[in-house]
Amino acid sequence: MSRLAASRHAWTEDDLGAPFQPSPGVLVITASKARDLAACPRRYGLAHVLRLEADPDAAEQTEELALGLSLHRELRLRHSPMASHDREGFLDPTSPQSPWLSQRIVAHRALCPSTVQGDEVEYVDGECDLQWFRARRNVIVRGRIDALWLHRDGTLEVRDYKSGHVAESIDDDPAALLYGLLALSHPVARSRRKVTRVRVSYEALRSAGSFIVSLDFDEATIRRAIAFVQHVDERIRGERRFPATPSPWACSTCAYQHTCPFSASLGRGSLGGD
Amino acid sequence: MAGAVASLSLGRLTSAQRCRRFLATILGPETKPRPVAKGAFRLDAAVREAIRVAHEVADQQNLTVADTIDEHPPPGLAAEERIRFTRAVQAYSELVGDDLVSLHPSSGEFLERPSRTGHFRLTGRCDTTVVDRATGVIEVRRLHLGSRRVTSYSFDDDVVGESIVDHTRTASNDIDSDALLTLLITKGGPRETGVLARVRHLWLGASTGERITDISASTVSVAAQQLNALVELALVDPIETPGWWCDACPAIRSCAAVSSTTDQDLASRLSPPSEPAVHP
Repeated sequence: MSRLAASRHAWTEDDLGAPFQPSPGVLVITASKARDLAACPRRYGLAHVLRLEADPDAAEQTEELALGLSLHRELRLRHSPMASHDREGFLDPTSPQSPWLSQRIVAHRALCPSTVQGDEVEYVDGECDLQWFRARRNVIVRGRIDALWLHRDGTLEVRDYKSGHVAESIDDDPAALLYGLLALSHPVARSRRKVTRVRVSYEALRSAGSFIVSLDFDEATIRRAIAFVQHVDERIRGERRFPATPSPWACSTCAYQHTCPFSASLGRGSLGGD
Repeated sequence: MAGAVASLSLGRLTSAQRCRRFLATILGPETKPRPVAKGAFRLDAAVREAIRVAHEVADQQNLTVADTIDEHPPPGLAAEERIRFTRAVQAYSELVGDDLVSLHPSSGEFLERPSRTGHFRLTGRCDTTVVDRATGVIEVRRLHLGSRRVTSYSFDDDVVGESIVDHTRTASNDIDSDALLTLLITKGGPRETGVLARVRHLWLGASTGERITDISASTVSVAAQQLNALVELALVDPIETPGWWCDACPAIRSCAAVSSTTDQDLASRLSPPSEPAVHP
């Protein structure tokens, strides 16, 4: 009997199914994949190896995600040429999302580099898909950056808009580490002419009490980020069964909590009528 | 001696048409099949097999699939997969289980057709193809184990993209893969009938749905012409367009458009603040 089956959980070895493992080809690492792996290897395996659809009861998470995407779209529009933060016409006043979006747009306006620094900063790119191919390990680090600003002192700043929880420090945040590497893969950084420093900043956008938290990248931070990529790469490629690590915290944010026997053993899931 | 003609599978078309170099590479002489994750398609395969068996038994006993489908998952699936298996076959039964149809000989078979230009062979496999017992109309059924969610918002990140955007990841200007699949199954004829086949997309996830399109001979002709033109362009001018498809590209290691660097190079990209700008 395995270590897992010997625990107090009321599931069997059969619940695991046959072994599965990632493709031996190029491995794509994104911030959300790294988060899933850290929260629970089984969540990663279900979502990114078996590619199973999320539970239907996870629909409210999908709605939150859709609201976040709407906010990102609105902010991108406000940074496009000839646009401004004050332009209210983008929002559909009849939409029930409008008040929520308006509050976050106002919050962003106070934090935006263009508001704070004016001509001292240049908007480089928005909602740009970047990737870094680590050829030696056959790994692609990939992600979408909400906004990229170049300051006059040579700082290339990633801005990530957050409408949910943001920690007070992002020094060890997986996404922040990956965003730093992605910023270094942007053509501006590749040109080797302007960039003296990379900074990753999260804008915590609230109806009240919005704030920014940042992580500056020096050479040591870059090496730490690369080591993190290596760690994720080795963990994923080394897995065969993607064991669950259920906990109230991990299961509460999991898109598979209602059909996962391990989550059910915590009294959370329903196993969908099984 | 003429070399073997390269094959272009419908499964790779979505990625291949986004980058000419990708397309030219997979049509090249040294292409190997893309390695796949172990277990990645076992649920799809189990559902397809259950549906195929149900149709075969229904044909033999002159019944409908609703009468013959087995909702019990096969061994080897994880608990979460078993729930989705049962949900999928139940959904199939509810959506089309009472239809009076018979399996088409090409159902589940590997299909191929040489291009008009002779540069490649189009290949593919259909999940399920049936023939209406009353009208003789061929119906191509494309099965999706997820729910149908359509949004106008385009997003390419792996996870968000798959949970929000219609998971086929197709773009509005993509070559019509339904038409190309129809071409493979019907061999493009007979043209005088107008409609060659009916394509029915079935979403068998938590929320079910279907989309039905009648594919005409002219639609097939347009898609074939578009594909031929795309291949010609890729072979003549294989420019790179990097994106989410790069990890599936056999030529990624030599692609100039992909930011491939050593760890040391990446770590040394920052210039000292005092260093004057260097212009090449």
